[in-house]
This record gives sequence, structure tokens and C-alpha cells, in this order.
Amino acid sequence: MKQDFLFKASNISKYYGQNIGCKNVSLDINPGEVLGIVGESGSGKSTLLNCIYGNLEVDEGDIFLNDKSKTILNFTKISEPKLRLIQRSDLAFVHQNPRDGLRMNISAGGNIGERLMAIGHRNYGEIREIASNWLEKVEIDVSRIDDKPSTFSGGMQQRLQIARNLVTRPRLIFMDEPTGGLDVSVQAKILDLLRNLVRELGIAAIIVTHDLAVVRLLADRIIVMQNGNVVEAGLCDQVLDDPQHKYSQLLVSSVLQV
Amino acid sequence: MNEMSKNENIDIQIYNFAYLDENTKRMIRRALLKALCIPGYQVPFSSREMPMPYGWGTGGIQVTSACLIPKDVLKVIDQGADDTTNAVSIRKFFQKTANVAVTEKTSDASLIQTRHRIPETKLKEKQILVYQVPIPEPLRFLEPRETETRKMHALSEYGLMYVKLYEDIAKHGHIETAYAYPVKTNGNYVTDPSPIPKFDNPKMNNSPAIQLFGAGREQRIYAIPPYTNVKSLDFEDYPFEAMKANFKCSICGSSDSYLDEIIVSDDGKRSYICSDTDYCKEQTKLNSKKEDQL
Amino acid sequence: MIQIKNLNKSFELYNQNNTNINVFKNINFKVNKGEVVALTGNSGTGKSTLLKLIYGSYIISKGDVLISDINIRKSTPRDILKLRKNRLGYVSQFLRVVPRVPTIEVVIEPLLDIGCEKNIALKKGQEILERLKIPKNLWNLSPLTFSGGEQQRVNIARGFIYNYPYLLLDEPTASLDQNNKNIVLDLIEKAKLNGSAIIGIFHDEIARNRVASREVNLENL
Repeated sequence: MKQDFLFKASNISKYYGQNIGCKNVSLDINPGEVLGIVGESGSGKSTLLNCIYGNLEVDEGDIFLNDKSKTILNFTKISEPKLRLIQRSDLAFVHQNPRDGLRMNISAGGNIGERLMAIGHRNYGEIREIASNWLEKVEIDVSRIDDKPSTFSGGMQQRLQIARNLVTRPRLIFMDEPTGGLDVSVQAKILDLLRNLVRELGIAAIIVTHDLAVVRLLADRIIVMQNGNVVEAGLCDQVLDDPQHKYSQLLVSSVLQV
Repeated sequence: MNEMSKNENIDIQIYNFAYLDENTKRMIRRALLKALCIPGYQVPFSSREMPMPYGWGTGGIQVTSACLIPKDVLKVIDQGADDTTNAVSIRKFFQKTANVAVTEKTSDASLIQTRHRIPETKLKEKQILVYQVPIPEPLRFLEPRETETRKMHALSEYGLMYVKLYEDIAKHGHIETAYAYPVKTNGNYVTDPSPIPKFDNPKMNNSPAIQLFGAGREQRIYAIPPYTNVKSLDFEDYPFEAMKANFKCSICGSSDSYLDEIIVSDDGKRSYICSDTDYCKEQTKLNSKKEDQL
Repeated sequence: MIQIKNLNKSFELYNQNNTNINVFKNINFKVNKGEVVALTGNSGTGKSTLLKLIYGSYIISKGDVLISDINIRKSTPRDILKLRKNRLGYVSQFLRVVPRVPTIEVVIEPLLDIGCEKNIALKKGQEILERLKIPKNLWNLSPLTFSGGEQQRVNIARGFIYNYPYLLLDEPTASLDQNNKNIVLDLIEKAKLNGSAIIGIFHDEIARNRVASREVNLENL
């Protein structure tokens, strides 16, 4: 197997009884790349994302991560503690609803600091400083560090979720409809933040979304899913400008123009 | 006469030694052995119906019951005092069902059951301290799901515990937790020491005694074997401090013991006295001896 | 050198009665370093389509596009992304940006993508915006609210901030007045002198005549 990939999923299948969650999906991603997974509701994109992150058990297929020491780990074969540790430090998962990815009754600083404390940081002053830096990076006023996320707007909550996930410098971030529940004006800010972070930190991102406008602005390559299968894959602008598959064409032509 | 002795006999025959039946004691002892082998780990056990409701020390009582042998000398304290209603009731309970000798002197006891305090008098080897525990799970108020907290202990995922301390410092400028202050047992599991004041935490560390913890309603037992390292959680720049009220006991004059604050008059005058009644008595005795010598 | 060999393009529209639209067949030509080739032909003959095929935005139906030694049809998406970063630039007719991002940041993005340090990139961005006469007070505003001509110039700034060896231009002077047209044409000439191989679509005949080395008419091939 070639050693220069960061993350690779091969022939992933997940069934719910007779129903297909996703079937025979393969994808790979290298550092600094953004991969988009698009499709409508029920296409299996969220199932796929949860499978490759390790949240759901796959029925078939393998998931490989090239870890920091250049060893290739197979998610389906490593122990749960090891997987959870990787999920907490090397990977990140940004949920569609920030409430699923934040502790609403803990302050913003505590939310960002949690991952640090989990990997052994024991200096309060340092933790607070790192948390403040991250609040600045995601453009949340540093004076809000002790406020609870329940007092934040949706956009701020989402940005806090991103900060909380990135504080341990993960190399790969999974996002499930990252701009889903947000106002359009707020979406723009988050999109720009994500692009800058990807570029600055060299992280890779896999983004699930049904919004083609978002994927066009964020992703380099995309895969299109329908009923659990990948129907088309390629350069983002190519798939959106010159879709080859019938379903991709339908999807693209259905987007409303503003 | 016969009627009377018949009744007494009936009393003793209805209850097994120390109330619980031998099979239950066996089950609890197995749990205790497991607990001692894995310091700080919460071992589930099958908590029995006891003749007092949950919340009144049933866990501690079941552990004591499983440990008692006829030649034990039992001491029972509640918030440091031997003479509160609960301490008296529990002591009478074991006198009746086990007929063991009882004492108020810490140094004379072989088994001490306590609610929410560790005796001031230093414990010795072969002494057993049984704590009554309401909520055995230190992470419970941060993470309500039992499935999650079990995983967190199994995987040593204690970030959340430190988050709680972080929140305290952020809000109050210092770690606010005054009792049930979490500790790391044997460098491994984070444990709830039961609602003892944090002043008592250092006593748990490297103690020559056997420390057993019973939570009846929650059905968990855990233990700390003798000479085990027990460290209170803290931050490098906000280290743990064992604190107490900065006064002297108004009875014995001690400035080293944990004090209870009591209101002594209608206009709100306060007085501070030792929470540990036995210790206070001992100190008073020592003081009068010193006075006699002078 | 850019080589177009026997290039065919057709679209198969599955959701519209499986209509097949053929744009062009058997296009052949070359573009050398330091040359500007202007594509001509009436509307609908596939000029923009050709640029998109070269850039990789459209799939090649038949034939080959070679950029130096790279065969576009045989390249993986990753290869094309790499090519676009370092060697192949494209100025389209439309400004597609993330909303609310300031103009100066939009313009320096290509430099940041190849790892240029932010301070240096900002300096270059300011230089080119000045050159294209975009007023300073607009640099921190999103270009999406600008006039057509201003948007076009921002697009140009983004396309010319880095010296791409290969450059594709789709109507670069379309919405501009004469002064601004000249500025842009100056930029194109400069790139030409630098050795870039350029393919452009110029609706304006005068502009075309000024910079083009030669013309390729898609209707006559």
C-alpha cells in the first residue's frame, strides 16, 4: 500500500437490515485537501461520515489512518481505547448542531480546554491562554471566555465547536453540514474561517453537505452519493460544471440561482 | 422469666450475626476483595433491603456487617460526632445484631464506620475505616450517563474532571469544591472520597488503615488498601490546599482539627468546636493533665 | 507549450430527453511560450468551453489537451489541482468568492495557496490593486457589492498576481472602460514578455489586435 496518504476508506458498506446505509464507498484524502460528500437526504452521506470517523461499526471495508509516527492504523482492527484516543487528539468531528458537539453548561474556555486537560495539561494559566488564542482565531470576543455557550448565537456556537475540535491540532477534521443551521450571513464567516484554517494549519477536511454552493467554495474534490452509492467523483468544479452522471446532473440543475 | 428469655432468644435467632445472612456477606466480601485489588475502582454489588431507608447509610452498614467479627470493637461517627442520632442508631443496631463491643475512642476501635469525616486521631495498621457514600461516581454531575462514565474510567478519560476544577477557578478565582473533593487513587482511578471536607483528604494518603467505601442506593463498593498513594486533583499553578476555619476550638483549644461552627445565642454569636468529639475529649484530657503538672 | 489535439466536446443531458449537444469536433492547435492566442468565432461555438476543457472544469469527450508534458485527460483530480496551483491560471468572466471576504484577501489567495508569506502576499496584492486602479477604501470591502467593471478588475488582479506560465483568459476586458482596458492589456503584454503561454477570448477587436500573436477561429477548423 502506498504510504503517502493521510486517510483512506476502502469499500465501506453499512447495512440496516435490508436497507443500505452506504455501499462500497471508497475515498482517500491527503493533508491540506478538502473533500466534499454531497447528496440529498437519505443518500447515506452522514452514515458514511460516521462510519469512517469510527462512530458506527462498518459491515464491510477498511479504514486506514496514517498516524503521526507513519504507522498505518486500521480502524476496524484497533482497540476501542486507541480509537477513542485518536478521535480525541488526531481527528475532529464538527456536528451539524453545535449542541451535539459542545458542553452547554461549561464555559467557552472550559469547552476549548477540555481536550487539552484530557491529554494531560495541568497548568490553569497556560490552558486559559491557549483557549483565549483560539477564541481570537475563530473571531469570538475573548471577553466571552467565561460565558456559557447557551448564551451564544448559533454562529458563535458553531465557531466555538470548531475551536474546541482544533485545539489539539488534529490532522483530519470531519464536518457534518457545518453551516447547516446557520443564517446565510453567518455561513459566509464560517466558510472563510474554515478555508483559512485549512490553509494555515495544513489540515485535511471531509465535509458532508447538501448545499452545493457551500461545497463549491470549500472543496477541492467531491463525491456524489445517491441511495448509499457513489455515483460520481472528481474535481469539485468539474462535477458541478460538467456532471457526467444522470443523478449529478439532476442535482446540479435543481439548484436555485440567486 | 421464661417468657423474657424466650423473647431474647427469639431476638438473637431471627437475626444472623450482624444482620446480613452469610451468603450476602460472602457476596459483599467478594466485592470488597475485588475493590481492594483495584484501588479506587467502583465494584457493583447487590445491595440488600436494610431496615433503614436509602440515604441513611445502608451502604456503609452492609460493608460493616460483612466485615464484623465477634471480637471487633466498633466505633460509629456521624460528621465526627459519636452522639448524633444516626451514629447512636447505627451503633445500637450492631450492638443488637452482633453483640460487639463499642467505643468512642478512635485508638481503641478496630472498625470505624463514618459519615462524612475522617477521625483526627491518626489511624493504625489493622484498623478498618468504612465510609458511607451517597454518590460514588465523581463524574456524575458532569456526565449523567452511566455508560459514558464507565468508559471514561476504563479509558482514563478524565479531562472532564479537570474541566470542573477549571470552571471553579474561572468563576471563583480558586477551586471552590469544599467537600467530596476528587482524588486520584494509586495514580489510576479518579475516586470520590465521599462528602468529607477537603481538609480530610490528606489523611487518605498513605494511610496504614484499610479504607472501604459503601454506597447502598447506588450499589457500589470501592476500597483503598493500606499505604496507597491518594492525591487530590489540582493544577500546577493552583495546588490543592487542605483548608479549615481559621479559629481554635472553644472547648479544647485545638487549632489543628476541623471545626464545626455553632450559633450559641439568639443574637447570632458564633462559636467553633471540634467536629471530632473523641478528639476534642482527648485534647481536653491532655490539657487538664498539663494543667495538673504545672 | 499548450497543445490541443483532435479535441471533441459534447454534452449528454440525461434529464432532458437524453439530448446530446455537440459543441465542437477535431480542434487542433498549439500555443507556444510568449504567445497570446485569441479564440474567435461566434457565440455558441465553444470558446469558453474550450478554456474550461483545458482548465479541467469540463470533461474531455475525445482528443487530448497537453500542457507542457501533462495530459489533462489522463490526469487525476489531484494532478490537475497541483497544476492549477503552480502553473495554470484562469480568469473567468464571473467573480466567484466566499461572501463577506475583503477584496485584498480575495486577491492574495493564490499566493497564500502556494505558501507565500502573508506580509509579502499583502504587499503584492496592494501593488496590483493600485495598478488596476481599485480605490484603497474598497480593499477591505467584499467585492460582491462592486460594479461589474470593478469586479472584473478584482478577478484580473487575482489572476495576474502570480506569474502563471500558462494563462487562460475569458473576456478579460469585457466590462471595462478604455483606460482600464489598457491597464489590463498592459498586464497581458507583460505576461507575454515573461514567457507565459496565453489563450484568451477577446470580444473587443481592438483589444484582440493589440495583444494577440495570432487568432484561432473555432468555426473554421
